[in-house]
Amino acid sequence: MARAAALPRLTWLPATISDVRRESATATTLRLDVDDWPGHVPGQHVDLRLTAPDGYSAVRPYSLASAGGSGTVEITVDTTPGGEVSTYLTQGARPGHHLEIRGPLGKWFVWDTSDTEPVQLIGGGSGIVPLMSMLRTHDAQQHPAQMRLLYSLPSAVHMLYRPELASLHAEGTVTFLYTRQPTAASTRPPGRITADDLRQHAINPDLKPSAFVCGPTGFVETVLTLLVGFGYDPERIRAERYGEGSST
Amino acid sequence: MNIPREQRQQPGWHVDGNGLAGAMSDIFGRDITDAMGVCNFCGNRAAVAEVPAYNAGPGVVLRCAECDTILMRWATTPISTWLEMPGLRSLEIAMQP
Repeated sequence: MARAAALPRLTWLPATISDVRRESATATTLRLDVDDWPGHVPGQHVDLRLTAPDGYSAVRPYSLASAGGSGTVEITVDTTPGGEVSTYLTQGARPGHHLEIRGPLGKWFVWDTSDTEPVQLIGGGSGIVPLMSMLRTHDAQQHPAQMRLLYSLPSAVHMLYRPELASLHAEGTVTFLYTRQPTAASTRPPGRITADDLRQHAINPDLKPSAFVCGPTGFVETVLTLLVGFGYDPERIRAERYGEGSST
Repeated sequence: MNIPREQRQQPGWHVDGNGLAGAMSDIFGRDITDAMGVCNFCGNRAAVAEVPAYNAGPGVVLRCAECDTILMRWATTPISTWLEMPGLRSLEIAMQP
C-alpha cells in the first residue's frame, strides 16, 4: 500500500497495448506497456482514457487483474452493450494501439500482503477481476496466508481466467457457484449464492478471516449479509460494487 | 435531478466511491478512498470507497448508504469544479505514510 500512496500527483501515462487475450465471449484481457509504471497492490484499479481524433475523450475505471508487484499491467474488460469504451476495448483494441492510464488507484479495496490472516474472496461475474489480482499475488509470492475464492457466474462459458482457475479449483482453492447452468460434475443446484455455500466452502469464521467481495451491487449486498450472518467480522470485510452498465 | 430512490438503485445507476478515486484525486490532490466519512443526518460512518456514487448525470453524487442523504456532490465545467458537501459531518483523512 505504501508504494501506491507515495505516488506524487496523479498524471496520465501513455500506454501501448502489447497483448490482447479473449477471456470469454464478452470479456477481453489487455496487457499494457507503460513506461514508469510505479507498480500496484492487488485490488487497485486504473482510470483509462481514450481520446478521439476530434479531441473527444472518455474516462473509465478498470480493475487490474495482474499480480501486484509484478510490474505487469493487465486489465480485463467485459463488454457492456452500447458502452462506447468497453466496446472498443473488447472488440477493436489491437496490439500497438495507444491509450492513456493513470493510477494505480484505490486504497481501500486492497489486500495488504503483510497480513497473514486468512483471506476469503467472493466474486460475482466480472467482480472476479480484482480478486484475480489477489490470487495471482498470493501465488507469485507463495504467500503463507490461507486464501480461498468463491466465484459466482452464470455458467462455465462465462468463466474468466479459465486455465488458472481450473487448476486452483483442482487444488480446492476455488469453488464455482453456477447461477444458471452447472457443469455435469457439479452436484450443487444452479442458483445464487446461499448461506449453505458459505458453510461448505468459505473459510471458517473462527479463523478470523478477512474478506473481499466484488460484483454487482445486489450480489455484494447479499453476500455481505450472508457473511455477517455466518460470523464474519464486518470490520474485516471490504466490498467493491459496480453498477452493471454505468461505467462502461 | 430528482429521481426516486428505487429507480436510482436499479442496476446501472450507481457504482461506489472506489471507482471515483481518480476523479476525487483531481479535486483533493490525493486518493481519499480510504478516508472515513460521517453522515450528518444519521451518523453512519463509512469509507469513501464504499459510499454509493451516482455518476450517470452531468455531475457526481455520493449518498449515505444508510439514509440516502447527499454527502458530496460535484460538477466540473471547462473552467472549474463546483463541490458541495451538504450532508458530510466529517471526513477523516489518514496521514500520508
